[in-house]
Amino acid sequence: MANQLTDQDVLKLAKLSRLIIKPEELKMFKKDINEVLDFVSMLDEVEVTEIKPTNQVTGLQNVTRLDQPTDYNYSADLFLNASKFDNGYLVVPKIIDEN
Amino acid sequence: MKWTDFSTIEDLVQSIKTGQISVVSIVEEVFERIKQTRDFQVLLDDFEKEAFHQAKIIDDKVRLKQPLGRLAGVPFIVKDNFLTFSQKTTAASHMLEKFIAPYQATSVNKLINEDAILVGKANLDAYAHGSSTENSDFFTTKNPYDKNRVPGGSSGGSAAAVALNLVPFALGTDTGGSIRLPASFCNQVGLKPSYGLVSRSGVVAMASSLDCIGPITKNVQDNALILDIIADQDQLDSTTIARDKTGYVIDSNSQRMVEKAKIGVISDYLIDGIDQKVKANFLTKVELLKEAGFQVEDISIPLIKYALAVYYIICPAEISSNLSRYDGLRYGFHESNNDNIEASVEMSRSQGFGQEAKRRIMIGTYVLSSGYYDAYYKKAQQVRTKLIDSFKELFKSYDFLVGPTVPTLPFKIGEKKSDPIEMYLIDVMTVSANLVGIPAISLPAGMIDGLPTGFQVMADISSDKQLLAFSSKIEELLK
Repeated sequence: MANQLTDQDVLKLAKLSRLIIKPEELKMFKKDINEVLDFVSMLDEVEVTEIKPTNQVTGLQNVTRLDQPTDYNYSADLFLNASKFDNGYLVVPKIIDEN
Repeated sequence: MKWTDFSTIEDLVQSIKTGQISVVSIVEEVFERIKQTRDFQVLLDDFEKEAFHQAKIIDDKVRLKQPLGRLAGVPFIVKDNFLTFSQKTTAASHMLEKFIAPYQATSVNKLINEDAILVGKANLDAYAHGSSTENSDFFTTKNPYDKNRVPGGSSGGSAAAVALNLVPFALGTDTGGSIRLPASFCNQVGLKPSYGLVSRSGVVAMASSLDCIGPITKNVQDNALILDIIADQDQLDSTTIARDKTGYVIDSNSQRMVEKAKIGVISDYLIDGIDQKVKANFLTKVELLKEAGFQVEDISIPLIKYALAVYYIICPAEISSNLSRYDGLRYGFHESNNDNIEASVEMSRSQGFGQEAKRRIMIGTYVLSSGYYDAYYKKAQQVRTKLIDSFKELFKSYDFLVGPTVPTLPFKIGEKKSDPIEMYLIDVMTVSANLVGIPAISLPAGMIDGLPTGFQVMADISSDKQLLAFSSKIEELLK
């Protein structure tokens, strides 16, 4: 653990996170992320062989509700928040190249 | 007569229902206070017109002797990460600066169904990422006891609102201490209930296995009353758990249950990294508990020193997942780029998210990535299991575990902002309760050099009722 991330690593991480890092921000993010990774590396000391990981604390499983239709009249409100909508559809940039 | 003349919400509601104090006069008082305290920068939005409208409706109901809810005419504020229907819900982020909520949080609905009046929405660290309210994308809230200091975070606006007497109660959210920490810094009572006791539906998600909703109030009795109203299973949140059959309101019965409580003092919190004045003050309070006849013993949880490291893996991991929904298309900040959807999403996210959100998204993405998942995320989940087991073992012998809420006094604005690790360390005493899922409360514990301190009490999972009853028994002692 506690690998030191390089500039390239941080840029790749930004890409995976769908974020653009400005050149002047790179140094700061690299420093901060490395410090956090260094801090959490103290977990190396803890023995966890055969310990089950905890995903959630309630122990609840397969919580369902009746599959009943309910009135939902907020479609117009939902569209108010969209970047662009037309005739009841959300408009997004093309994702398939014409060629 | 003013609402601040009443020592509890229950007394206030009683006087409203009998017509001794009008709701319109209460709302007038609230907005007068809001105007007087503008320079503390507590609120992101307020609803004067709507509040007066509601107040008149309730006054009419009183006059016509119509049935009224348990919070009839009581003004309240919620942190601006609670969705309030057809109003802005920004989470103090540029990303949601113009977001209009298309539905309403379950907890807000429950309060309004009891005739409480929503008067405003409080500032926070953007997306609740922070411990000081300095990470708000709009402005920093100031501590009511010293304008040069932070109110704590991330529910800093909510705690400051109660401390400044804007309202008798406010809702906050607590993922790693974000209710208890500002309650401590602002001298109020702040409760993080058991995980799942209050529905998270309609609250902007931060880290879903840790997020809890709870009240910030002036006293424990008010806190129990609000919890009693908002705690419930909810079909809209499948992680909600069953509430206590007898409710949460404090009565002589529940107080009797905790008369002979056995208390463990978490000695690990007192070793290093704690302000000596905070430690000394805490220890005098522990002595008072002994004098009051409680059985008090020092205990140690060796794994607790790893809690913050576990938290700063699991929390960013869940944040990176929860914030991946922001694409700038369906809602949130949008930067147009008609040709390329990938570029449009990246540009929207990069301009909409602040630095702290970006930092956490990237850390979360790293610890979840295929090569590092086992070393970081899975490891943290395993240590979490061990921490849960440690607490379970202790609750076999002790009813309550106590410690300070925060290792320091409220710090100066700007003092810790440039160093993320320094800021993260502020949560060192609060994160364990979130990782374990247990209820924890911060109670006012006297002042040092004119600044408030907090006394934290934790109880076993689903023992929220006992926790509140015990807290009400000791709150006068601690002040």
